[in-house]
Amino acid sequence: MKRKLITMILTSALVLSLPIGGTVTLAAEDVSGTIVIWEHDYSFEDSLTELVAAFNEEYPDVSVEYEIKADGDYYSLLQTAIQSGSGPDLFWTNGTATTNMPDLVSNSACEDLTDKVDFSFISDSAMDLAKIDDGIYSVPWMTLDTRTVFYNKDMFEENGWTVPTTFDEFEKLLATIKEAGITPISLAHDSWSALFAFEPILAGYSPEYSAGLQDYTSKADGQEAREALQKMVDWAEAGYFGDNWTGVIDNQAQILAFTTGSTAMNIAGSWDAATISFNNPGLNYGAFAIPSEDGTTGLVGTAANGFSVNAASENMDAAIAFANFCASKEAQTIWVQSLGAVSGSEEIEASTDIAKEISESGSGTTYRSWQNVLSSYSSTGQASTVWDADFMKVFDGTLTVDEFMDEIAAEME
Amino acid sequence: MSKNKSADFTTGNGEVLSTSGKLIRWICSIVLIIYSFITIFVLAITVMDSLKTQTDLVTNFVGLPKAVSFSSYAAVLGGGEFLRYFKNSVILTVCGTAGCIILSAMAAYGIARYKFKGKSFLTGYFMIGMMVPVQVSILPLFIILRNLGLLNKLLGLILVYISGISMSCLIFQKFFRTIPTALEESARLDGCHDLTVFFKIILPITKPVIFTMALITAIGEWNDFYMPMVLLGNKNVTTLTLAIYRYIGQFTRYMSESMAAVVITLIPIIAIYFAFSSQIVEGLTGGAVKG
Amino acid sequence: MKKNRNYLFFITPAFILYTIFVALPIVIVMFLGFTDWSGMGEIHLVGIKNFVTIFTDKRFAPEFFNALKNNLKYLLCVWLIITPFQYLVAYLLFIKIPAHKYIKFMVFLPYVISTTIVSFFATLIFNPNIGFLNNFLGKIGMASGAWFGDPKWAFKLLILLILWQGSGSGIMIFYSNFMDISSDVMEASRIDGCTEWQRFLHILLPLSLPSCASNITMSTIWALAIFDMPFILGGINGGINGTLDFANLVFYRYTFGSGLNGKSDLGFGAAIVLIMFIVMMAVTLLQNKLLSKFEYDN
Repeated sequence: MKRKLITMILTSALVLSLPIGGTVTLAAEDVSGTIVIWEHDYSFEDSLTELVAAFNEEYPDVSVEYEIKADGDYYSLLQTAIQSGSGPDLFWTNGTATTNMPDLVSNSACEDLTDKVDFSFISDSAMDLAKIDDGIYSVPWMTLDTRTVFYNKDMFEENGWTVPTTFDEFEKLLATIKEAGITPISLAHDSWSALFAFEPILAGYSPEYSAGLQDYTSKADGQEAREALQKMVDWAEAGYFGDNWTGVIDNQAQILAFTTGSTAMNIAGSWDAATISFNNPGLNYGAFAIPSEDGTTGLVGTAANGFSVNAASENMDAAIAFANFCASKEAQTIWVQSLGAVSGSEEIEASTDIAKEISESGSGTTYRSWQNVLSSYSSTGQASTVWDADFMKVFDGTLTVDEFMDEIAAEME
Repeated sequence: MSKNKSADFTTGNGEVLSTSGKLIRWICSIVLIIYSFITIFVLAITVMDSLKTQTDLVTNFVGLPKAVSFSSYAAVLGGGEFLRYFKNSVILTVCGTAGCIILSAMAAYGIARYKFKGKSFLTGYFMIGMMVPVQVSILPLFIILRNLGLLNKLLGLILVYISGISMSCLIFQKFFRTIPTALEESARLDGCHDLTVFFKIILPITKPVIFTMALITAIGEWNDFYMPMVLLGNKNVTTLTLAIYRYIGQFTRYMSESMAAVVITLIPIIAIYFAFSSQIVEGLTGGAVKG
Repeated sequence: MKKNRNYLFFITPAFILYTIFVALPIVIVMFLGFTDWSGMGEIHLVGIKNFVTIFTDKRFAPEFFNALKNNLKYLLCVWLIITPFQYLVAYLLFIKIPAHKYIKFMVFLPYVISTTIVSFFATLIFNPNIGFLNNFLGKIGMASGAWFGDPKWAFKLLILLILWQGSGSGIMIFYSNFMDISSDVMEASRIDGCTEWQRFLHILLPLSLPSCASNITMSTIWALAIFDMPFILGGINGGINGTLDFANLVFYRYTFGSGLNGKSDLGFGAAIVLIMFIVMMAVTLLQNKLLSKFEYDN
């Protein structure tokens, strides 16, 4: 059954990926040469290999090489490489979510893909990652990078705990688990990990506020955000993240505490699902979204950005062909499924049960990320930096929630 | 005290020990042996974990493997072109270390044994390399290598490694100054060139320091994944360490593979250490100065 | 000391390569300290603006000085704890205490273990949720701790881990210096009936001082340039309340933008490097002045 479905998807994808409408594409056999792709993280390597193999079925004469520059200075290296004229033909950036792609675009380093790539498969909200002014500068991936509550199903069953349906129930559940002598939530004491917990808590605490982030009618330092953050601080003090959670030094330690069964839940990015399954294939776990008081749910997150084409590429035909391939349903399906990601498109079925479960837990609603608002609407451009530097101070008691939010407000429009 | 009697209390250096001195030594020794258990513990767990299956590993970090499995080694060594990566790593490390040690020993000797203008400046100049982390200079280095046409070529990184003379040059300098000049003078009277004197007389008697610095340099280069990642993009020139960094970089995902990767990189280093350590022990005792 | 031009044979090859591949990139970076270059586009000279920001910005300055303070605190630990420890162990190995071959191997071994493994074991031992330490303390009825998340413990644990993992190279250098001391001298001391303590004080210590000086110089520079260990143990933001923040972490955060998030600013980062460079030069020169008083020169 499943195989039949995949075959169907693949055949329809093949049909769809043929040139349509105004897009001008060279015949596959005319394109040849070598192109180089840069990625920023090893976790994409397997998907990239699959992607290249599928591309080569269509374009057998193009040799695709990829390099993974997995370090914090990825962008600086990319800029240096492009400026010195030895940049890759295609490269990953975080699109409009960070300032890096806009920087590259303003230095004419990215090829405008409008009319060169057929974007019909990509949703409008995903295209926001690629559009700057009137141009389109990258091919987004239709994954949904969201945050979720992973929970240990066996542990829940043994103790008779159930998945909460209201925010109040969730809070009571935390207290119950804590009383049972188990750490309710695994969380690392760093700004990004804490953010991935804060955002879904905020969405459950006030769906109206979270919906308003989309068009910035909800201010970043709004009353609801302050209250939700205060709630999270209270939970930290109540020991819901573990009695000594300041000593959980990174995301790896956070995941390990969950996979080894030391904590009942783990609030983290949906992309961690693959790592959790790899880490402990025997773990029976599920996912839910933190419900609001009236029982509705939603997911915080966006699509992911993909590759841009170097404007100075020496093999532009092949580079464009690859970008065009990435925009096809076939490539998007390969990407979403090989990553085990949550699908951002109704036409792509997620490959893992946990990804489907995360997807369904949101009942179709998505909210914009609170942190994304910081980078998009900061008048000084510094809001995100201030957040990164000071967020944890709220939990350490060196800043109060109000002091922190006032700092943020000072950097916002 | 007769020689025979002292034999029981004689250490390798030939001095005589009182009973209390002997006791203190034993205590120090026992303390250090206990201290070394930390390392044994860490390595034993690393090796054991590398032999576990993933499910076994997560529920059981410390215990013995439920069943010995070499699948993680197969994954690390089987994927891709292990032999080529290994060869690249060996070429880089051997050439880089040999070049770096010879060049820095020469430079150190020049600074230590000759008087010339700008000597103290040069000493300081050669130290700059230690003062900034590699992330600082990697971007200009990328451009320099690119302009020399050495990007993505083993030779390029070998030259960079050879140029990393700061540390060994500093160590060698002070060291050369402790060697009596009498030896070199007599050789020079026999009409030897300064370079010949250096290679024939100075280098052999400084074996312990040379080997120690070579070992430290080699370990640094062998374990380095950052520079190969940035400067050697092409698959043909990938190093072993970079190839297995793929696992170590995603530690939570590939725990037992990472452990296997660590064991694989450790083995050559430990082999080299044993090869070198006997040289270090011999040292001067059989060297030129005594004879 | 010879006075002829033959020194050029010795110095030139190293000088050329070093200049191209080590010094030149650093000089370029230092020049960037006077610009506002983000890494892309045109380069504008901005004079000393970056340096003024470092010292006066009300957000940045306290952060930087806290990091600098940690660097100096760590430097003190290097001088007073780590280096004496290395010297002592090297001496014990030199006098061939029982099982010295085994010990020599074991004290050096951690030096070759990759930092990823070190961080895994730090998690395994110190993690409050899954670590042994809290498990063990819980079993014997003692209070558990947050360890790296506790400002009172974080720095001390860092020193302990570095002592274990990083002291191997220093021990080896000290040891090989001892090994190079002429055995004639040792023999003579034995015939003269020196006690072990006399021999140490009057022969080994003065003879090893020059190499101590270079070892200490090196450790000092490294102490000010420390990056790896605190990065692994406390994260890029410098641990809880900045207890594990060091100058190079600050540099990294501001130059490349943390977590692939912020805007990269190569100019500002370069200015931080330049200031650290000056601090290192000053400390090294001062130290060399002090050490040269004790130096033995033949």
